[in-house]
Amino acid sequence: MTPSKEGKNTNKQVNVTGMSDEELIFTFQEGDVSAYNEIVARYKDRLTNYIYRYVGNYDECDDIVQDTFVKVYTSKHLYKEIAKFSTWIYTIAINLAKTKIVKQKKYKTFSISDVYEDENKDFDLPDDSFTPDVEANSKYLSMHIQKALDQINENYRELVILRDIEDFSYEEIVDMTGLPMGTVKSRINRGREKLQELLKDIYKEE
Amino acid sequence: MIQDDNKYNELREKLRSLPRVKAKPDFESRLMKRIKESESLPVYTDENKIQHVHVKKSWIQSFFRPMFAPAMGLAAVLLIAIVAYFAYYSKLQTKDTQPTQYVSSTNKGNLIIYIKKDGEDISSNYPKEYSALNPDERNPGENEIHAPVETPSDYLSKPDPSRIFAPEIRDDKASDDKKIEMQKYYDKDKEKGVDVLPERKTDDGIMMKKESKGMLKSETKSDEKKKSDEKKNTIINSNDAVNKEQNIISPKSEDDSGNKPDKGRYGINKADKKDSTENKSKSEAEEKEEIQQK
Repeated sequence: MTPSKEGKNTNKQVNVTGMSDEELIFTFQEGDVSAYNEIVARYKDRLTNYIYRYVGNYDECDDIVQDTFVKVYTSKHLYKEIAKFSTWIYTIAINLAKTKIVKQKKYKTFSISDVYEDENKDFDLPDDSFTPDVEANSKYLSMHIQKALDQINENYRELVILRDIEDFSYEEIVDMTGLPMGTVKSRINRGREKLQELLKDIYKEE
Repeated sequence: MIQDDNKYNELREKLRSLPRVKAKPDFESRLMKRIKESESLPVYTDENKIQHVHVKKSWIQSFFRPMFAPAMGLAAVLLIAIVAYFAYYSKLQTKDTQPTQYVSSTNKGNLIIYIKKDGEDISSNYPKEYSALNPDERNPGENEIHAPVETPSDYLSKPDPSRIFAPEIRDDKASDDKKIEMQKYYDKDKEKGVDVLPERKTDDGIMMKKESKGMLKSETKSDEKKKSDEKKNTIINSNDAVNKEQNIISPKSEDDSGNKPDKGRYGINKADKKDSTENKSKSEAEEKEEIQQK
């Protein structure tokens, strides 16, 4: 995958699979590119899922995840064994996602579908490539939940995804976001409440 | 925490049940391209810090900077202007101006105006006839002729026309007849022996009038007093002769008592009297002289 300039590191590739995330990043800091490949393999889907649920757009999500791994590659020396590697890489990803959203808000993009909103015509270009909803059990349910997630506040959304979708502990979320525990809890509860309200119809249907 | 999680258990399960979104299959290949692109760009890490080596420039390079060009141009123009001014205009100004004149005063009170020669001493052009030094006394090699230095006292010694008092000489108002009469009186007085001071001319050339009558009178009075004193003295001398005779009669009484003779009895002692009169006359004369002097 990634270019391996040093031939010496090829011998270590066997051992990389059994390493923890922290060990992988340390070996990568020493110059072993295979450790980086292992990190990408472990985190690409997790980060994609997390960012997709946060942003709501698969292409943007893919772009953000790519940027996250480039950042890890270029700024590998900045990681120190203070926090978990997962916390560090998720923090990078969420910060990049936030900056992207801010930029989008600043320079609003004009969508073709917005012009014909009254006619309820969908002009999204057909994408024959892989889409996340293909694997979903229920396409409708997935879309509905995603719409609900997009409607709630960004601060609540971020924390709800981390806690209920990515299944991080409260302590890890505190480490990632840098917020106090009380704030994290309250925001998660408020996010949940709002989501429940938005997903009332789904419950009724069920 | 757990209670809150249980409260929203149903919601949590739904969120967990959401299909896991996976990355695109070409994710890694695209990532490789991106990393290659990022490697081509300079990465600012501690290891790859670009060290800016300051190359020392020579002082000429640092001085003749393009940013200093306007300032240097202005300075050059100013310099040229100053040089041109001192080279040409200052000379022209000196030619136009008149040579400096010096004024000096001589001991005789005359004012001399002389012009100093260019490039020479102040006294170089001072007229020799007014010089304090004799031309014979001067050394032949010495060219320096010192002009008298003007001091405050010299200044005061100068004849200032504003300070000179010229009295007005008026025409004699007396008629010829009166003059003749006056001449007659004058001649008579002369015959009588009355001192008549003639008119005299002062050195200053100012006509002095006859001394006042008061002065003459005071002199005549003093003379008269002197004469009267002399007369008195002669009288006292005659009395002395009488007293001598009395003294011959009463010398014992003086010796017996041991006391001096009573002055009241015999009047004033001759010598005392004489002295007192003399002193009186002297003091009076002195006082008068003082008054006259004043």
